[in-house]
Amino acid sequence: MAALTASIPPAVAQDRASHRDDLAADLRALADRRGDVDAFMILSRPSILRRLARMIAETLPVGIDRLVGSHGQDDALVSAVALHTGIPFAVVDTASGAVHGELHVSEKVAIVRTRRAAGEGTLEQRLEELGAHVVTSVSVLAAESTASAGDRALFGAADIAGPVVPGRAA
Amino acid sequence: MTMVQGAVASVRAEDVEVLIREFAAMTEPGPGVTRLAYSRLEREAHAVFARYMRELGLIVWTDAAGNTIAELAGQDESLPAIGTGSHLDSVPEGGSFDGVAGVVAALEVARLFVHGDVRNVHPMRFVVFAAEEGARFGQACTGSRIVAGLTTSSDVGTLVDNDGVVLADAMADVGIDPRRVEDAVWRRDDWAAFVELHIEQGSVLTEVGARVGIVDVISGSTRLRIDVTGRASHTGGTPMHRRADALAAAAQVILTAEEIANDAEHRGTRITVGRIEVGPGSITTIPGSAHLFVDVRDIDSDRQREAASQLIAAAYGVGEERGVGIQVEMLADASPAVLPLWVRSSIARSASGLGVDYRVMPSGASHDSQMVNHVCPAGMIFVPSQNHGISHAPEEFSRFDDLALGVDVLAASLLDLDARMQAESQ
Ligand SMILES: [Zn+2]
Repeated sequence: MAALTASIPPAVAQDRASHRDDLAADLRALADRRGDVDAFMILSRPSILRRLARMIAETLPVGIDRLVGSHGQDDALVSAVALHTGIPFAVVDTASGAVHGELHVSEKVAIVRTRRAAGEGTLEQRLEELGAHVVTSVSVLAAESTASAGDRALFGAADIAGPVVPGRAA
Repeated sequence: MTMVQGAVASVRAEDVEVLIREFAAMTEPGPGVTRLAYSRLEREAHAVFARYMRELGLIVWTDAAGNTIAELAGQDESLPAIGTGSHLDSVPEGGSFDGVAGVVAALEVARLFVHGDVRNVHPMRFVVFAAEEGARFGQACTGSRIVAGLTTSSDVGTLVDNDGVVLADAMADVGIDPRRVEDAVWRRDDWAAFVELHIEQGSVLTEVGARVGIVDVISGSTRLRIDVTGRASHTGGTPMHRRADALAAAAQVILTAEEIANDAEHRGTRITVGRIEVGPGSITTIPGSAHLFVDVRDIDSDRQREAASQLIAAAYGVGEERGVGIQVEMLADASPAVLPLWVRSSIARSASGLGVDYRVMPSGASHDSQMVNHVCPAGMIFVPSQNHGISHAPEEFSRFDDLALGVDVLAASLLDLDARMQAESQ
């Protein structure tokens, strides 16, 4: 292999495609036999959380004031992205509508979540009521139902279902 | 005797011991066991395995990579197979248990299933992989890499041992056609799951008092060569402030590596400089060159590369500070891999069912099952290593009753997987 040059650290880093493939393989390893992934199963592993945070961070536009997630399932994910980017966060209890952490009128927020539940729109609605402006919304896993416009998912069903083995899914 | 899954008797420690000793006797002269990859002795050991399996009535074949596979028919031959096994080659002057434990486990499970008249639905395959140890050709898991399609016929022409023997020639010497290794590749639809039993090669299990380990993640490894170039000159004639001592700089890099791995952000990172070459190598000459061979292992994928980057940056810093040249080459890079949860759950459930204390733990070393996991979901059972976990040395030891218990858990796990996958397919 070639000697490493001035771009030393990036040369050790994996290329984007194999980084993504490895992460998809780890997610598949934690899926059940039907290909369903439990959020806590993946978010409780630092190696996975770290990589997800990095991938999500790379999708965020500049100018985001705050990250927002659903309280409970996505606490760990939002914290990890906050640590990775330095952007503060708040979590919203979608059942009660309570906001944990600061969130102010007219702030530009990015929603970060593991997976949008089918038909879930509550978090967006609550943020609208609070006067926040949702700039972007990123999910780790694509929703079962068709995602709304502006929703980005890092991994689709084809990445997670299929053989529970490393390498690109069929 | 306890019963496994209510159907199979448990394995006897004495039987395990007899087999371990039989394989240990097949060695080159000298301390410990020396049975190198693609050597005549390795083939002889495979033949012993094949003979025992044929005696049990199993169908046995050797594939194009030199792996030996024995099949016990299932009730439904249209189903993919469930496999278990390990390797029979060793490092030079190694121990009697590394790899052999998993092969003996496969033999004992086959005996349990045949004598216990177990009605497995999926075919069961017992596998001895060839050339698992990287000691001879610098590449670990050659036999299993071939079945996973990760090593090809063109690759075997490029690897060379310390005596200059090319891997392809070593294979040909023991009757394996290196041009046909692709014939050994496993089809994904032909394998349902694989579980390997292996000695831990560490001391976690004995320290916590658990008798079985279940591997949840296999470490990755980034390997670097760091070349330090200084100025060779007379040790008497060169004052300290005029020196560019490559070895002193290398020493600073090594200590930095240790510091990085000991940092609070690196629980689970291991950095080792296992080899160093110094030139010109004279007591009266200041070292002009030093080559460091660095192994960065981690269970955390990004952190592994970050630790390697950190070390490289530190090495360049040392070079600047001491006026020596630094050049870095990446020799190899493999990611850590999480093993499939549902296979792991089967093993955990089986251990609990037998009342066996288990610990979920990472594997620091790479194993055949890591390669097999590219074909079908794989799991690993660790059996405690005694003598502070020493391995790859004659002092390597595992208790025979621990091994027997591990085999019980393995047998129960294979049957649990058989039953679960059968239930799901209906
Ligand atoms: Zn081994």
